[in-house]
Amino acid sequence: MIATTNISKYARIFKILCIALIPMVLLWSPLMWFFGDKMTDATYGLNLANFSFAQRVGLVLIELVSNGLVSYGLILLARVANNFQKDEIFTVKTVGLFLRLQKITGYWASYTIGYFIFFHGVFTTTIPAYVLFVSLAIVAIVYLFIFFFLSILATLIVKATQLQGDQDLTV
Amino acid sequence: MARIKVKLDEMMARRKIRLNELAKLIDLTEANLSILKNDKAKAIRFSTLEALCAALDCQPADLIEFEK
Repeated sequence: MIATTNISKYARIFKILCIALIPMVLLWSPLMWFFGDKMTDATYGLNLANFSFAQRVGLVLIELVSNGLVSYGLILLARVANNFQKDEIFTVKTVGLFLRLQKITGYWASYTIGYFIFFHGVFTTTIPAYVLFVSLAIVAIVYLFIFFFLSILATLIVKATQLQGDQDLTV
Repeated sequence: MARIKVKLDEMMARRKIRLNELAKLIDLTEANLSILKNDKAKAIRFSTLEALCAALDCQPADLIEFEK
C-alpha cells in the first residue's frame, strides 16, 4: 500500500532542484563550445579546435534560444511545485501551468530539431550522420514522452478538481 | 431531465425559521445550508438529513422530492 507522502516537503525539494538546474542549463552551452574541445572531439568528432571564435559565439547564441526555453520550462515546473506546496493542486492555475509547459516543450522540440538539421550544416562541416539522427530521435522521443505525460497529468488533475468540487458541494 | 429537488425553503417558510437560526440548530455553516437551500448541493449526508428532520419536525420526503 502506498502511504500518503508529505507533498509539501517533496514539492519544496522539487522546486529547489528546478531552480538549481536553471544556471546549469544556461551555462552548459557556453562551457561546452568554448572549453569543451577535448570532450566534443572525442565524443562527436566535431574537430572543435578548428572552430573560430565567431562560430563558437554563433552556436552559443543559437543554443541560448533552446536553453532559454528549457529554463522557462523549469520555471513553470517550479511554479507547479509551488502550487503543490501551497496545497493548490486541484486548481485551474495548476492545469494552466501544465498546458503551458506542454506548449513550451513543443516549441523547444521544434526549435531543437530545426537547429540540428539546418544550423549544424552551416556552422560545422564534419558532423557524423549518426550523431544527427540519434540526436533528432532523442529530441522527438523526449518531446513525445513529455507531451503525453503532461496530458495524462493534466487530465488527472482536471478530474480530481471535478471530484473535489463535488466533495465541496456535499452538505 | 429527472432530478432530486430540495424543498428546504418551503419547509423553512412553513416552520417560520430563518437560515441562520436553522444553521445554528443543526450545527451546519450558513454557507453549506445555503448551498442546500438553493439546490446547488451534489450530495447530502444522512447525518445532515437527520438533523434537518429533527429541527424542522418533518420527514425526509418533506425535504426532498424526485422530479421527473
